[in-house]
Amino acid sequence: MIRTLFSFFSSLKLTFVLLCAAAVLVFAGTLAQVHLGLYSTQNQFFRSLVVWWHVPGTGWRIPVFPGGYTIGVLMLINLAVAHFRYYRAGHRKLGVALIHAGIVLLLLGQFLADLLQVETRLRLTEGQAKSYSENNRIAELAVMDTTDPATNRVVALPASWLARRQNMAVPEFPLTLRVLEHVENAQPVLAVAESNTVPVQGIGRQLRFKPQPGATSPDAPTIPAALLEVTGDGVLLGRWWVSTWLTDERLASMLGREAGAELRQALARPQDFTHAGRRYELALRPRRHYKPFAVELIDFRHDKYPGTDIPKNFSSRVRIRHPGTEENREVLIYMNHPLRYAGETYYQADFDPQDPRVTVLQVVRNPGWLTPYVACVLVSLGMALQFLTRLVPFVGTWRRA
Amino acid sequence: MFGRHSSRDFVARRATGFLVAASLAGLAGCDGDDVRVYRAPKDPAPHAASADPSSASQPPRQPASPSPQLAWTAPPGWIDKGAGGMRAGSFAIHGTNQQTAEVSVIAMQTWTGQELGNVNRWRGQVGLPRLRAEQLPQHTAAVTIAGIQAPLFDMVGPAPGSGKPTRILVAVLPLAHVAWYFKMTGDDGLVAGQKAAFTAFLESVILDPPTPRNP
Repeated sequence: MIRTLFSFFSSLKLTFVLLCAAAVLVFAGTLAQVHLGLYSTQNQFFRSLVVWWHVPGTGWRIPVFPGGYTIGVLMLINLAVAHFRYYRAGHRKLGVALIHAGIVLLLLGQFLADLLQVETRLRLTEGQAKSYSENNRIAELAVMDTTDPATNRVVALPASWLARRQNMAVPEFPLTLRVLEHVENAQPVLAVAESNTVPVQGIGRQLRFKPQPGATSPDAPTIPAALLEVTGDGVLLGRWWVSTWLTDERLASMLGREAGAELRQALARPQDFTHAGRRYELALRPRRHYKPFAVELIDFRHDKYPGTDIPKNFSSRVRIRHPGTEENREVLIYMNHPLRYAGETYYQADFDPQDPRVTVLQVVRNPGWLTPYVACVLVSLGMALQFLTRLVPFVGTWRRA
Repeated sequence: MFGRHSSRDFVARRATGFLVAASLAGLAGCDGDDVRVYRAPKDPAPHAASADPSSASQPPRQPASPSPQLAWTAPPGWIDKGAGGMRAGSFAIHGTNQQTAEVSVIAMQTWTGQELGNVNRWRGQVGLPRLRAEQLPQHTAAVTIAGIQAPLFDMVGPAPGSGKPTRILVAVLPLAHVAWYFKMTGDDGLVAGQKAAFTAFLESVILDPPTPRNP
């Protein structure tokens, strides 16, 4: 049994099949991207053990192909077992060992990058500075004590808790939250007197949130909303609607453009209340990643070829202010020229077609970003070494002949 | 061929263990479902971009000032060196025996969470050992700046390299979106003698003056 498994996993036929499967998967994923979008395709085809087919008109799903993780892990096992089976130590095989080490590092590095990499976005308007970036695919419910004039004390709860509709005692604060309504993917509608079944405070007097009708793009992030009832030390303090419609700057900007002057003023006000002499605020918002430095947008340029609307260049001139290092410098970020800073890479990613002052930078934290480079160096060295170990004896023999 | 496989099995088990451990570490490091408690600077007021939809058609505006302005009254004997670079203000002080000191006022974006790192950096500048977090309160005095209680740090020791007794006084005024750093550094004797003047300077600071800054 062990012998059979060993033969199977060290087989070159398996290598060939896996390479073909990888090619098919990449081809199918590329085609699927047109309909599913980049994010969903990556998750369904490459960050998965199995590719599922959802049978139309039913709730069934059938596994149709191995996913990226399965193929990657099998490749890794195949390479490792084949190396143990066929490799014989010696200076003439050092090149092969280096090539194998490079490929293993490449596979492991990509696997770890998939697990450890965090992608967030930093949206800035000219003149605006932020010391955080946001993950607009994951929401968090922030309960903040805003009494201190300088800083907020924040308890950030995962938004997934809202779906469970359980009561939650907020850690650190004398508050308890109860979810009265939860909408996974919401759209705002103007509230009228009878639209809320219970009295609400804050923005809920003007707006309430209902499920989005119809299907939305699988690649689009959901926009959650919830109606929360807050009690403090057993006393009902009120009920507030919270939603990323109110906190995600892009969505809030869209909502603001649609709203009248009175609603715009209401949108600008926080969902806040006072209890036991402390001031609190509720916000369902994209999950924030704070940094020990701030990035300020000085200038955003969207250059076009003269006389056309064809983009020529996008660039963001930003200022980095790091109080820990007293760093205060300007950096120009533009297409294919990201900023690498404090373990993160800032790419020019997007802009707001409605506002020429707004830039969107993609912020990627990938602890394994160096592994592909090291892997390529190892493979190149291995190939060169292997070539030379064959070439040198051959030249010697040829001269003697 | 399989006779030597016990060590290979061991290697295989180690490799599997590594993969499992790496997977678990990776999953733990994901952007996931944890409750986080932290202090954070306040958000700026809702930006004009989202508050004012008509602004979309307007040409780009000048960058807004990221911080409130300050005004202060310098004690007699301080030579105003003006603003420049990162500094919103700076002064030179000359004492007897060629002793010198300088005062700088710098605005930075963040203070919260950086206290210990900054204090240890300043302590390193006068050859003092690093502090642990629980030791920080013992080395922190208080001073009132613009009506707000602010931390004041007084550090003295031999400057690395020259060994000259050097003293650093730093006060930090943490506001909503910016922290103002007031720093006096120079020869120990002169800075010690100027500490009262430095405190008076801090107490003279006012926020958002109606007129341009007052030297």
